[in-house]
Amino acid sequence: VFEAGYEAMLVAFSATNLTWLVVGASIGLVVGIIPGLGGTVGMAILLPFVFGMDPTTGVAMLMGMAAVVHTGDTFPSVLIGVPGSSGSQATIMDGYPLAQKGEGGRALAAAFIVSMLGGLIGAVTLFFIVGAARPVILALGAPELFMFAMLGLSMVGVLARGSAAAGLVSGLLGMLIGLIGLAPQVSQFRFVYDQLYLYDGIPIAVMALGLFALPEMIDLVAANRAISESEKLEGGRMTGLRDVLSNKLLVVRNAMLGTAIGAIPGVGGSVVDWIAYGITKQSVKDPENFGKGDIRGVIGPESANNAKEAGTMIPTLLFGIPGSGTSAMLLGGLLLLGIRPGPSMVTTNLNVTLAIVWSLALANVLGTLGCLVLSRQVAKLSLIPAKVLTPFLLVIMTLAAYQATRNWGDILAFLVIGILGWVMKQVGFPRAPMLIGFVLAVSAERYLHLSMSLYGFDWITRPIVIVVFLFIMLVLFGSSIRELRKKRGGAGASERRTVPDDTTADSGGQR
Amino acid sequence: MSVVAERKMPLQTKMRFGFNIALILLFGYTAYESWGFARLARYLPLTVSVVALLVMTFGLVVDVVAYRRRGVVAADDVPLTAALAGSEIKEHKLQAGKVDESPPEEGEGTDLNPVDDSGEVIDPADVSLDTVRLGDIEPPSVILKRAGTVFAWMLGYVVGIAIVGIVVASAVYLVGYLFLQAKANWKVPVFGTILLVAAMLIMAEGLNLEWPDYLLEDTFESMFGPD
Repeated sequence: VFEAGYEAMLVAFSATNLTWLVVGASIGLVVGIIPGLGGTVGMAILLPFVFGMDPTTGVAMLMGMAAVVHTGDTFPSVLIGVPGSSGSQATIMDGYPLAQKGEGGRALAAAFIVSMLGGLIGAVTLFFIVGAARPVILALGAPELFMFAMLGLSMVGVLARGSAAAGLVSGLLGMLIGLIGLAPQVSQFRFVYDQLYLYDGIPIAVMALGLFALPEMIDLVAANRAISESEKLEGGRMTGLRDVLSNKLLVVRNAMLGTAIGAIPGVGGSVVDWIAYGITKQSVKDPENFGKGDIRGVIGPESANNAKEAGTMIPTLLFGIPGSGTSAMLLGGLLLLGIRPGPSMVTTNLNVTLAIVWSLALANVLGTLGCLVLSRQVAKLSLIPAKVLTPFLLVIMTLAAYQATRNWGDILAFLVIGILGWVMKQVGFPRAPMLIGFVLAVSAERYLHLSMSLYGFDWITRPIVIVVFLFIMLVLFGSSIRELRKKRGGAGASERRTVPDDTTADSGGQR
Repeated sequence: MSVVAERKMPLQTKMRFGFNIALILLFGYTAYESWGFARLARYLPLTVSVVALLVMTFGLVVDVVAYRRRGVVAADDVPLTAALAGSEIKEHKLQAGKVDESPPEEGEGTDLNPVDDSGEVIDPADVSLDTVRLGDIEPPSVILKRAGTVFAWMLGYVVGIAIVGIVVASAVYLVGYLFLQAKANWKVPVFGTILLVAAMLIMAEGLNLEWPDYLLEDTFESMFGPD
């Protein structure tokens, strides 16, 4: 694996790949900075352009984007107290008070540096896990992969924000939409109603743009929040660097934590920062200042949220289970590039896997450098009022949606799914499970068909299948049994969930 | 005691119930439709539809029970950035903290929540809701009107694409929206539009993009020559 890692490095540092990585990273920063948009939307905008690229190049661009979203999203969290994406909500707790105290520059510098360190640690961890998991992955067959897909879907549904029923239904609805078009085993078109556009199914980019981007645009304008007049970037950057150095252990620990949590489908994204924040607060000796502007309250969540992106790649690449919106999009992107995630990622497509690792690492470094050098200019982006910004973004999104299949249907589907997404957002139906169900539908059906034709009904008795099945039952009913007990315990106790947001659904996020 | 009688059902709650019921009908329909597919094409859609139908029915029952008991459906569940839901929640004081009198049980679900010194669970959603979401948001009617306006402009833009093509429609949409709706300083629409349209044309050339067909395509081409 090490040799392959070195070869992949040479590929990753080639001029073409570097260029596209920089393009991806720049878009990732912008998407991160604009409140409400996150990795999923960034992927959706880039995806149509990936088609036809060399796999390692396409992956470099997509991962470059995903890696730095959580570097850029720190700007609005610190400067205006609005999360740039769902992964940076906990940063507000201490970052915003720091900025108000005139130490915004310090908070940002510290956040950027730990974002980079977290991202690097995550990438290294991913590298070793890919190496270690090889033998296990190679033992998996179609039945196991089918069960893993089901497991991923149930976990995402149950663990995403909102009631478990809403999450599951959202995932199942996504699957049904994913089944539109030609059935793979027999030549039958399903749910197409003689609409030529539907024969090939709805493209994933259109689905993601409609579900995540359009609703955010509408709500950004509708909420029309007041935005502070000028960016406050006072406070020394060197102080920020010193803060990081004096909290080395915290950074390393939270980065590992972020990677681990990122690897659990459905949890990823938006909880990671809160968990990291809570644990940081619990572990320090003097937590009085937390919430009032303690730099450790910024360092804690920021070192975890970049590492998470590497973590979400583990189930996505190795089992083909995307745990978040962003990784669902990556999965879609890989399929567009002709790569089927799963066991092949550690054999024939090992170079692509390693390119992902390298891109993650490189993009994190580039993103942080970019943010540090350009912070003053970039910070202004987060101060543009939503009503001025959104029309431009809507035009760009419409263009991106149309590039999916270059069909009028793309634009109409974008609008229709957009309305659906907006309603779902307002009524508390998480949208990430829907995207994940959508992506999983086709592969789940293929694995199921393979299992049935290879083993008949015997596949159900394979040991890993049984274990995973029991685990699914635990995921599905474990939480409702707990809820029931809770209801009996305290009448009317509302189910409090920590997952605060699925807007970007990134990776979580509901990714 | 029913809390329901005391207040009008919030729009957001009506939407939630409506959405639940619409989904139940949809899944019923897809189950019926899947039944007619060839055997191999039937398995997954039929299973998914039936399971979804059951889960959604269960979800609806849970929602009704929750509403009758607490007057709250999906207040904690909505994302922080959901404008209409946030405004509704503020308007109707639906925040669960209001109705939630019992503290979360020790050791249950607290693992994910930050805990402060007294051992009391800090719900991150509460903190951020105060500071981020509900601070300065207007009443639902205003929010709904704004959302409707954005959407109406978007629809107009799409109709424009169909008639005059995406380049012209984008320019008109941007200038119109920025001037009339956003009341931006004149520089923003003028330079912004020029920049974006230029970028579109350069990208079209460089990346071989295509634009959607439109009604007046032939007329335009006869006037300016094919592009």
